[in-house]
Amino acid sequence: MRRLESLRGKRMAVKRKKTTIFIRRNRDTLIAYGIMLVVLVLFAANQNDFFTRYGPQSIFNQMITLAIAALAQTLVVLTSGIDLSVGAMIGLTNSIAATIMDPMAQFAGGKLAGVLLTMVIVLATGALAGFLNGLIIVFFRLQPIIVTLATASVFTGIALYIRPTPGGKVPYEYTQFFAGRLFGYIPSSAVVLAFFIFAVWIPLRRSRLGQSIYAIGGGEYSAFVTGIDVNRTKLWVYTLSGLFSACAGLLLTAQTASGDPLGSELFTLNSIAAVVLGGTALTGGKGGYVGSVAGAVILSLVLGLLIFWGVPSFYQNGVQGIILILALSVGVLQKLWKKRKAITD
Amino acid sequence: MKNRDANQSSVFMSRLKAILGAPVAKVYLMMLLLYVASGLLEPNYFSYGHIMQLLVMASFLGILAMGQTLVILTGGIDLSVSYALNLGAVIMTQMTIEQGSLAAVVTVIIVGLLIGTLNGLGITYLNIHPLVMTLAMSSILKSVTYVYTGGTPKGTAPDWLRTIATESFLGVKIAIWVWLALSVFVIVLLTKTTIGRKIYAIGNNNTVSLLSGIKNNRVLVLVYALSGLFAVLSGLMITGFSGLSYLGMGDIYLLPSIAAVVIGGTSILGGRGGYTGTIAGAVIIYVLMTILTILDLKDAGRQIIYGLVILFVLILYGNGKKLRA
Amino acid sequence: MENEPFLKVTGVSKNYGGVRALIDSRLSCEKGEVHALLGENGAGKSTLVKILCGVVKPDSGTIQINNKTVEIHSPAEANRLGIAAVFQELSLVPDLSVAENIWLGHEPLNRFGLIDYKKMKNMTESLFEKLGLEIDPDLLVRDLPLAQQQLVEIAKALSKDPEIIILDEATSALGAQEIDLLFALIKRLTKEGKTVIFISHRMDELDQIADRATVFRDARYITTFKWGSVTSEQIVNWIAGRDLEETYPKKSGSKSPEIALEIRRLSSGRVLRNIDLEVRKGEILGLAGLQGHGQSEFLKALFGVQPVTRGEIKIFGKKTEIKSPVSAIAAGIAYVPEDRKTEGLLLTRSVRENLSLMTLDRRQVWSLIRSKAETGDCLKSVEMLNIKTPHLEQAVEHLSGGNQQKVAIAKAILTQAKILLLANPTRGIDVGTKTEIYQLMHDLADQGITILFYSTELPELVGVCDRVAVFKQGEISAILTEEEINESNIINAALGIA
Repeated sequence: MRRLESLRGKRMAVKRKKTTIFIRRNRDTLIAYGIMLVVLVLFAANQNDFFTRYGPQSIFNQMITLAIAALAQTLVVLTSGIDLSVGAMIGLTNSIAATIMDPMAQFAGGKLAGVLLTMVIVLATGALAGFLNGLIIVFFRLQPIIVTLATASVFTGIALYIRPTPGGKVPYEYTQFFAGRLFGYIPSSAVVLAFFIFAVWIPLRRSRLGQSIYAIGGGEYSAFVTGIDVNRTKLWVYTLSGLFSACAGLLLTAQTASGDPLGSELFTLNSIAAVVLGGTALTGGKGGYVGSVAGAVILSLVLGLLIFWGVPSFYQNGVQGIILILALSVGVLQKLWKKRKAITD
Repeated sequence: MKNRDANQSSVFMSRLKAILGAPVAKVYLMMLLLYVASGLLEPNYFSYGHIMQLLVMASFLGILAMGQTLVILTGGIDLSVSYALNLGAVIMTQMTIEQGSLAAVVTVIIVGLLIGTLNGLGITYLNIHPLVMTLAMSSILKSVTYVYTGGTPKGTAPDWLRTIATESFLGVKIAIWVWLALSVFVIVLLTKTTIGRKIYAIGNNNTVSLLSGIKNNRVLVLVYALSGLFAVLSGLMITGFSGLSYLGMGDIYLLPSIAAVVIGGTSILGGRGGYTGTIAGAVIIYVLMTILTILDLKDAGRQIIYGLVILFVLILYGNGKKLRA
Repeated sequence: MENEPFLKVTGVSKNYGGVRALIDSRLSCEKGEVHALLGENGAGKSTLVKILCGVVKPDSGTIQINNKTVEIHSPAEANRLGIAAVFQELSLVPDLSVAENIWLGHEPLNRFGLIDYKKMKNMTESLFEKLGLEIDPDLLVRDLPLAQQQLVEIAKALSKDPEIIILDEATSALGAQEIDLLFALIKRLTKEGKTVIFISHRMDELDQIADRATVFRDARYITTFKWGSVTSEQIVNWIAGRDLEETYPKKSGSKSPEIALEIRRLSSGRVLRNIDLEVRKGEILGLAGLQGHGQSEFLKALFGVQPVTRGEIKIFGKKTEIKSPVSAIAAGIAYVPEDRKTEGLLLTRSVRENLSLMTLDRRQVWSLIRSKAETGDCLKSVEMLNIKTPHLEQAVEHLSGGNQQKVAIAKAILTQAKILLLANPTRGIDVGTKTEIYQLMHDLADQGITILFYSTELPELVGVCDRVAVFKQGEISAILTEEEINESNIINAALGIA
């Protein structure tokens, strides 16, 4: 009996230790999910038809573009870089998609073929744009913040050239597929989000590339000395950022059924906000996409809540800003609380 | 090094070498070359009148970029300047109607300092990254501006402000005198005061700064407060120039304010550079605009060229360290 | 053991923009031997090792492994060639676990090409079993004490199954047990035919394991010899290039009875526990012990950088609370940090700016710097410490290491502090400058300035200090008086041997 008890005690001790380490590693992300839950509850409480078919769909639709943009940003921020061209890349790919989707249908001989071809072209463009970012940053050894600031301008310019005014033609089936529901019940956006979390982020996180990303954020020189190919990893990170921004652009095209070269500026800063809210520090090496999803949800839902509460659009920006500050302060307050505890121990 | 005299002469030589070889000299050279290029494309630009106009337009950006220079030198960034500018402008025009322009100016200055101080406090005491803090502040200011004006800014700039922004004194536009005076202030601040040394120290290595007994937090709050102040001052000048205020008037100045600083040779990481280069950076941006206008490049072309120029300048300055020595 | 050299380095040179770090150097190591690399700081050993690890690119020379010429383009390639190194500066990622750190870059993959976490943990556990380590692989490296971090670093190198293992001052934080473990490990490795290159200053350690040794001096190869075949005087002669002189100035002896610093029950979390200390005016008190046992933290606590959770500090009898560097400086305490490059100096700024950094507010009128006064103070410092610089506007990064350190020390002295805290001030500095610094310390002490001096070099502590406080696990395990100060007493107190 005693041996069984000691075994159980040991197992519990191991579990407790594992939980402690888990909490330690993911503290800020857990805070983000806490906040997200609060916001979700508020959202649900205020939308009476939340649990009818419309509720979840509108939530997912509202945040999916930001959520994917946040994936792009998460990867870059984890390496302690930053990508200020995310919004521009979304705008560029959005503009391209809306402009060529119709002509491509004629070119490829069918709407479906046209859409697929468009998607391939758009994704390739995004990846190329990201690759260029990475190339300049790595090859010339320049700071990401200012390089991506400059490339954002270039990408926006190209978008304006392709699509001087908002518009374009997008097949109805396309918007229905990505912004509607599958099988008449599950919002497509939810499926897309699940895809990116489980089929993209998790495998990436569990790959050697993923570990390299975290290592670089934790200390570039240490990662280098350890034998990690820092340059190659960075190139991958920025290329993927471009690729995922293109995905966000495709989703945005489905949401808005048009292309707007200047309409995606907010995505850059909001993606950064989502990443930071979600617990990934701008200094890199800590956090992850799981947290950024919570951040994106929080930001989108808060906006939705404000709209629902009839808060005039004038106030919306301000409230979002204040909430961002408050949410980030939680982490600081927590640290202060811990410090006081340590002193009195 | 034997004595003070020997120190003086070798200091002079090295200072001379430093001035001529510094990135700052390169920026001024580039500025002149671009100006000449603009004149070659449009001979009318080789006129005193055009230069005056160019410098006046550049002065608005230049004043805004003063605060940005200080902030970037400490290793931070201020994304709230565009809406601080906007708020300052609308307060000016609207308060002039009811309380008079003197009260308006005083209020604007206080508001500018307050905005910056709040930024600084959030960054130092709440430990929020400058990028995120000033971004959040920008959103808040946008709302405040909208609410304050009810959606439509009222009022116009008082006559004295219009005079300052548009008239001349001793053959030179008053706006340029204003820019000059403020520039002297900032350059003296950075090069000849203890605050300037502290700013460079914090940007260079804030651990060393802390361990040297510098009150990092106080300096940072001051720097962001100044950034807020310069932003609203810039707003005042722009309002004086155009005669009125409108929503979103600061938007086109945000990224250029950062670009001017970086083109001017200040490292985005902080600790190196100064305002002298930013002056040339601001002028370069406007000269570029005029070139693009002559070439009748649509908005698209402008954005592309703008970005490419920044990249070109960055590559020219180099500076990154190799991992493998 | 085979007779041909397994590793052969010839004609390797490296120039760092004017500073010659290696000149036509060479090295031959055989399989199954422990080959020591000896030399003072800056003699070239670390540069050679970094070249072997692919971290630094040589300007010229050839490297041959097993008779094949190789070019080591990157750390990854060095690993592929069978070379792994452990430096004193850890290369661990603090926010990843022990297991993740060890297998970073060569994690075991499952059939989907993703990391097999379970296998990684098992491999870590079996590796640790083989090495005799007992560290939980899931813990974050950040949460481990320094000694364990160093062991993880060693395990990380060994996980790559290298043929050539380089240990560059890798034992600074290890206690007696851990060192025994390591040496047993080294002996096993050499039996398996591996080559171990061991860099250390500690003769007693080398006595235990070194087979042969190569000496470097002033960037050049000097000689290679079989350990035990020459006298220690000869070794020192090769290293220093001259006979060992008394490099320590004579202690003046007379000390004021006034107590400058009194510390009672000082604690900081778990890092410092119940420190009781009294230091007299004009005394040089040494802080000794294994690296990471609280000496650095103690100095930082006195300077307001390490939070104090309990205890009191009295300066010249007056109870003082030191909450930050600002209040410390105001109380008359100045601190020279351990790492001058990252904590002590603004490398890209001028000598003038660095020297005046700690005393800016004393030479200003409404924030405007009083330039003449500043120049005067700077020139005084340059003269007093014999700082070699062409002029005051020279960027500090262009000075030699020794002169850089002098600037860092002068900066603190300018505050006219009565209590000077020096953290490992002679680390990485040439012998000539070291002597100058010792003399400076004595001159300052004679003027009545109290000096607390943390060092990892035993001879230095013995030669310079009036008393030595030995730290162990955050507490003072012994305070050695002048008669009691000698290397073995310090070591015994550090390891807790009676």
